[in-house]
Amino acid sequence: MAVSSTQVQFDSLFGLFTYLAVAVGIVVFSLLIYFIVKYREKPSSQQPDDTPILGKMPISRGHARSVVLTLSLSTLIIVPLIVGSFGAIDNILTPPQHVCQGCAIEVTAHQFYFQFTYDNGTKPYQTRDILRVPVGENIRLNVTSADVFHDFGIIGYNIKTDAIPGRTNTIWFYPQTTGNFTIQCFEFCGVGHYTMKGTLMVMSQAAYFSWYNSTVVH
Amino acid sequence: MASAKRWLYTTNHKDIGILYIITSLFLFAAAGVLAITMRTQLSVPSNTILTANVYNQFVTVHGLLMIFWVLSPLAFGFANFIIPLQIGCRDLAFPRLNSMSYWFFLFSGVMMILSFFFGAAPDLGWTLYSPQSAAQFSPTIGFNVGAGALILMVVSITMSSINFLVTMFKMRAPGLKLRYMSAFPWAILVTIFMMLYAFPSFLAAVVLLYVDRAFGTVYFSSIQGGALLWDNVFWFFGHPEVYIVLFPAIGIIADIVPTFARRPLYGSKYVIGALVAAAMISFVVWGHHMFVTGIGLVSTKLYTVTTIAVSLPFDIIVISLIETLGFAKLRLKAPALFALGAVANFIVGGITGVFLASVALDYALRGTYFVVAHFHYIMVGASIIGLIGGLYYWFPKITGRMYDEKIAKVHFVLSMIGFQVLYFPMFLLLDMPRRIVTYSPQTDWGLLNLTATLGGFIFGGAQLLLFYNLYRSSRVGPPSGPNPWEAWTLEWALPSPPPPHDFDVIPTFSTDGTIHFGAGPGLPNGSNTPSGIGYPNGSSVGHGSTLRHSEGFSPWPILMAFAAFIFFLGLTIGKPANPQPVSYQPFWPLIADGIILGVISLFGYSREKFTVHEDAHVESWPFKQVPNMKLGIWTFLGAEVIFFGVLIGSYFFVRTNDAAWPPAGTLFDIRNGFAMTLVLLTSSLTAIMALASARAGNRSGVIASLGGTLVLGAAFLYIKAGEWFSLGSSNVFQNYSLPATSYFITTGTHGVHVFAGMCMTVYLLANAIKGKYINGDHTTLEHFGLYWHFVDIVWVFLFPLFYLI
Repeated sequence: MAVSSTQVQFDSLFGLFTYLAVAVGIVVFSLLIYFIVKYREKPSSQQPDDTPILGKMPISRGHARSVVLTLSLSTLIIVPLIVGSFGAIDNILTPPQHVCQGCAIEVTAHQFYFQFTYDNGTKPYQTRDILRVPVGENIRLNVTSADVFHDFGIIGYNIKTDAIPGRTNTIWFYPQTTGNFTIQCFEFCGVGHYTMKGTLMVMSQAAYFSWYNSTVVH
Repeated sequence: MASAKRWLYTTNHKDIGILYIITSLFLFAAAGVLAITMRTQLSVPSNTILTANVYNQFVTVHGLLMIFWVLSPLAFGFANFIIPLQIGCRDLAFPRLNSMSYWFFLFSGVMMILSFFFGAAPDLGWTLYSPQSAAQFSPTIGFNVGAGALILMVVSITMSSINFLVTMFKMRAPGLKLRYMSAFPWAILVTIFMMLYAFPSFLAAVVLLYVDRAFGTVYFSSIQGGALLWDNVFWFFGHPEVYIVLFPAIGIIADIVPTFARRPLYGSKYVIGALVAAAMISFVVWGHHMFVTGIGLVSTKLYTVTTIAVSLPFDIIVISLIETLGFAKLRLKAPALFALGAVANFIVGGITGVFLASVALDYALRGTYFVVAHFHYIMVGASIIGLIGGLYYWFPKITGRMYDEKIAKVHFVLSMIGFQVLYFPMFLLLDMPRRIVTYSPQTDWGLLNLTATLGGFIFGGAQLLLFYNLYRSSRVGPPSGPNPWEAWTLEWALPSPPPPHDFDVIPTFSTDGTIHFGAGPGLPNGSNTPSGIGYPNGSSVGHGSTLRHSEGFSPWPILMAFAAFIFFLGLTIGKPANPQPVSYQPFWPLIADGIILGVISLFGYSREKFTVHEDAHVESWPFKQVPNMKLGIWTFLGAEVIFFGVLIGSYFFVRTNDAAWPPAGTLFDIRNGFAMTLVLLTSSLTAIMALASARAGNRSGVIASLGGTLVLGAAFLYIKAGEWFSLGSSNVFQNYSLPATSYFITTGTHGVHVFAGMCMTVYLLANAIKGKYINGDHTTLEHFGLYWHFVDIVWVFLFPLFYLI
């Protein structure tokens, strides 16, 4: 069961890359091992007729055919990879314009914690290290940093983005199951880098909106 | 004593090569100990062997040492020893400069390690990301000392790449066309070009960062510059750097595999073309290190394409290496095993690189152990393993003795197994962040980390066999003879080890690639070889040749390097005077000592009679008409162009990012700028007149024109200094706002160049008064002129950029 839209997307693209990588790897390694085993020096080995000797630089051998073939096959492999990547990045970098109230959250990275700001209509409500979101809604995060270069990542969601002072990077996802996930900083940010963790709490919609409404100051 | 003198004062390329190799192997061990300690810390969750503070220093110094002080120097140790032998010259173009490169390298490494003993080593990760690297977030002196070490290292690399470039373009044996060079010299040549264009960018980045930290300028601590300015400047250097540490190993592999397969390299011209192509593409892929910084959809797509495309040349190289094995008679000796092992690791590292080239996957994989696994497959799996192959391959040539094949094979098997166990699990840790000192037991990372640590111990332990083998075999190994591998490149025609002067007779190449020594084809003593060859140092050839360059000691390179070392130490180990605003107090006594010693050694260096023999009949396409020294200076100026290009680029970067930049004409007085331009352009004219007078043999003309150049340079600096002081005390420039930062750094760097030019003028003037330069010996004036015109041209760019727009 997938936990989020980003995980589904990552798994399918990563799967495509992995299949092709394994296929290419098997072919190339088979060739390499076959050649090594077959042509290693044995008592029965033939002496190659073009072994260069000291005193005469060897004449270049080999066919342009081989280069053309290598390049064509490689291109055949990388084109689907590029196309797949383009599709996925279009999706990653095009966050939904309209998300529900309480589903657009500002993330500010500090040494060494994450601060989440909810715009609840009257006064911003801030939490530290705990990011509550509802399941089954598009969630949009605007990520920035208050001090140094951080990176906001959600383990298991396969999505992250850099938190850079003076810049805002937007990511989005669609949580598919409730539960707790670990948020962690993925760029070295100082002595407390390894402690810079938070929790993503994906709550049922009812639970989330009841919490969200309770933060509104009347 | 004689022996100490040999190693300290040597200018012989083979001795220097050995020094590079031994030094980098020691540093390999040192950086390896750091790695194994970190792996031990990470073996189980919540481990407490290292504190975060110490771990961060270890992770940083491990990376910096391995990249700058192990991979490249080991490769250039081989290059020093082997390249002159392969291209048929007796030494590099500038032997004393070569010695200086080595000592700068050694002292820079010492300085990097010393930083541990000054209380804090750099603790930023080797990528030194800003603004974490700015003084307010990293207030220890760690990276100040680190910056000093890196600057010394870049100086070493620049000197060395100029030296190799001139040597390889200008001093090849007669008839040795570039196309007859084998893969290793080609790979080194391509590497040098990347070094020349990439390292100035790094130098500029480190200098800017150091000035920020020491004097409180704000290039990297401001929002407008900051993280993205560093990312751009650093990775413009950083991606070519990845290939700089890889290519020499590819060259070695592509020399070893054919030798042991007993067949020429398949498609050698395509392999070389692929190296050149990959080197060029490497300069347009740096954006993939910034995929997740938010550089925009279009840029990320563009960089995805270029980065995936850079895999194509490497496909050609790998396939050609495999095809070389077809119908071969492959001798699986240790060098071949390591070379093929490196190819295998490179395939894995290359394929996983394609994953990271995809911006979409990078949004998940960025900053994780998947990245760590990928680049260790390249840097350790391909580079280190390939370089170890080179170590075994050339060991007999360097020492004249054979290593122990059995131990070497055990070393190979353990290295390969240890390597896979160490790094493959990291591919599976694609959720674990890099550079964390420990992790929680609730994660499922424990088993994979434990496995990796186990592999680390196997791999590290295996390297002890290497050290043992090298040490013991160099003493008691059986004599190897000149050509134990029946290889065909030129170094194997010489005795092992080669005599100090290498060649009794410089070989010549005929157009079909046949090598001739001395009078003509034919082996000494009538033994029959199928082709026309004589042995260069055989008893009956090389009639009456003189032995050159068997002496060639010079004490000045090591002294000069030492002077630079204590100068930079003094500059960087001072304690912060007060934390905010940061202003470091340099340690003046060391600086003064450094300057005095530097002046003494410069004086000694220039007075020393050290003639470098230039053979008249050499192959020097495409620079036939250009003398060695001039080509060296042009190359140096090429590197300077990149350096200033980065400074000017940084200025543009912050200026376009800053909406509140004061309009033109409000900050700087155009009249000042105009006056300085006029003065400097006139000084170019006097520099030309000095050369013209020298050509005409007019001594007083030379003196007057040089004097004029000196006075005009001084006038320029005088106006500049006035402007600096009046602006420095003005409101606009309080706290070094960005306009002030960019102005002070850019014009300051240019001013230093003007000052250096004036120092040269003083030296030239002193010689001119003694009557030099007018008897056809005016080349020095010409070289000075090139430099001086370059400095003026830089100002021609700075004037409009700062004063007019």
